[in-house]
Amino acid sequence: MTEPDRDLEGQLEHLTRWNGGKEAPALWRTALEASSAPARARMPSRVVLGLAAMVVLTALGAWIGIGTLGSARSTPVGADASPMARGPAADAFGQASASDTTVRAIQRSATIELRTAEVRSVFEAALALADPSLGEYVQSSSATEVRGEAVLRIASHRLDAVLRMLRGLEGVESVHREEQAATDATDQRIDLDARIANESRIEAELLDLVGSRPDAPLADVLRVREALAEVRLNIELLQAQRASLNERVALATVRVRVERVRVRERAADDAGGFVHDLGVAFARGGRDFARSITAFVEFLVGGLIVWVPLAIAGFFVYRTLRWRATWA
Amino acid sequence: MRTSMRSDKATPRSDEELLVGFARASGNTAREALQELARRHEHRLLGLALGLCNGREDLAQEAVQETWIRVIRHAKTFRARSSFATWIYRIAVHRCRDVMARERAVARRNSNAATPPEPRGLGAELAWARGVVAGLPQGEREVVLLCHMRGMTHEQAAAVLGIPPGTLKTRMTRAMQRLRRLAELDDRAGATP
Repeated sequence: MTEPDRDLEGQLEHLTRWNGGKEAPALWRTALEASSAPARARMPSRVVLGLAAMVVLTALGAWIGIGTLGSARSTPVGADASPMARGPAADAFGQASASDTTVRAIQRSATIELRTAEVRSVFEAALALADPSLGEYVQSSSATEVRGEAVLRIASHRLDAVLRMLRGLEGVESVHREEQAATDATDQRIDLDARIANESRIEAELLDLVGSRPDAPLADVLRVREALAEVRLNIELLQAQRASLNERVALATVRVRVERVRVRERAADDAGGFVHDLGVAFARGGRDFARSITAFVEFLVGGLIVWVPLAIAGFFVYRTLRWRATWA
Repeated sequence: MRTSMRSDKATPRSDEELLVGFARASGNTAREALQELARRHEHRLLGLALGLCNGREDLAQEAVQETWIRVIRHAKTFRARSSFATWIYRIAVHRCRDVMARERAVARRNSNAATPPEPRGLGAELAWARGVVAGLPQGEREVVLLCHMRGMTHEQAAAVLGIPPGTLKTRMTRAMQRLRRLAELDDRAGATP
């Protein structure tokens, strides 16, 4: 190591020293006090609570309204109507289901394609955006010198911030494509809740039955136990589905694709105007042509149920006409 | 018997044991466990944060305080897939990134406002080094600072950043080449009358 190198290394080591040994300001104490502060510090004000209650009531009202439209138009909207909308399983466990339906379960996902001259560094910076302390992780990743692809699982509430950070990563030259999608899984969750509640009710009834008839014949007891095992299996399956759904809702999926900027593409961008527009026009033309072919094939295949009887009928008409012409 | 008791007292508890103790206990016991963890790590965390926040003490303290808040909140969910030190440094690196991003956004909004004051009492050499390191891309800056922390091995630094050791070494080599080039340029500029 040369003399200047040693100097540089020494300076670098100094950069990570807290003022050359000065006493640390015991920030852990402040953090502990902030974390253990009474809930009132973080309690929303009455106005916020009032607004939240209004939103919840409006959503509930809208849901009940939608559920009773049409055939149930004559049914009065109120306490009697909601159990019908929720189904029989919700009757017994109505309270739990009602509280859950007010919170929507939205699965969010996004795709972003970045163009850069430094694929490796941008790709690594993108992977580092997943914050493990929030339960985020990199689901899959693969990279070459010219391209990197990864699927990040990001806390849903951070999706917009992460997309913003991806767009602003150092070395990113352009965002080639960006898409976002959201799927409402509330119905699926309500359905799962209702089924779990129903199975739990059956399980409770079966357990009561076993408990209330200690002198029942062995064959009957075994039959009830078999039914119990089946119900328990169903409950666990449904609970696993519910947990999986919750995980998908809590963590948004971000597909990141980092590609090296092609020299030709960059030249076209630099040339701007006409060349670029020409390229875009060709690409659009090709896409529209492919769409037309697809539509035609769909028309042919999807209409087979009509085309085949028509062809057979046409054949018989043709034969009949020809026969008549021959014998006339 | 007496010997074993004495040795139990003498053996210090590991970071992970202290964290478990903090998560499970309450009151003074929990506080003492956290205090011990802070005694071991806070100084170094502040040093790292100071480096990552370009020498801004206020930002470094903010980042470290947020780090402790995360540690306190998520202590129960710590699965020990990595060591406590790796975990807390990783949180600190993320918090520093957030704090710096926030600071950059504020600076963009108030682009007409005065630039933040330089840290007081900073030696010229140190200020020069800080300026040069600040010119590196974020990934390389983090690698350089982590690898030059006293007591931090390359493997630990790689684990903190969540990258393979090979990538860390490549980045480190590239960053050091850049730094040397910058240093040479600076020397030439200084030599020119």
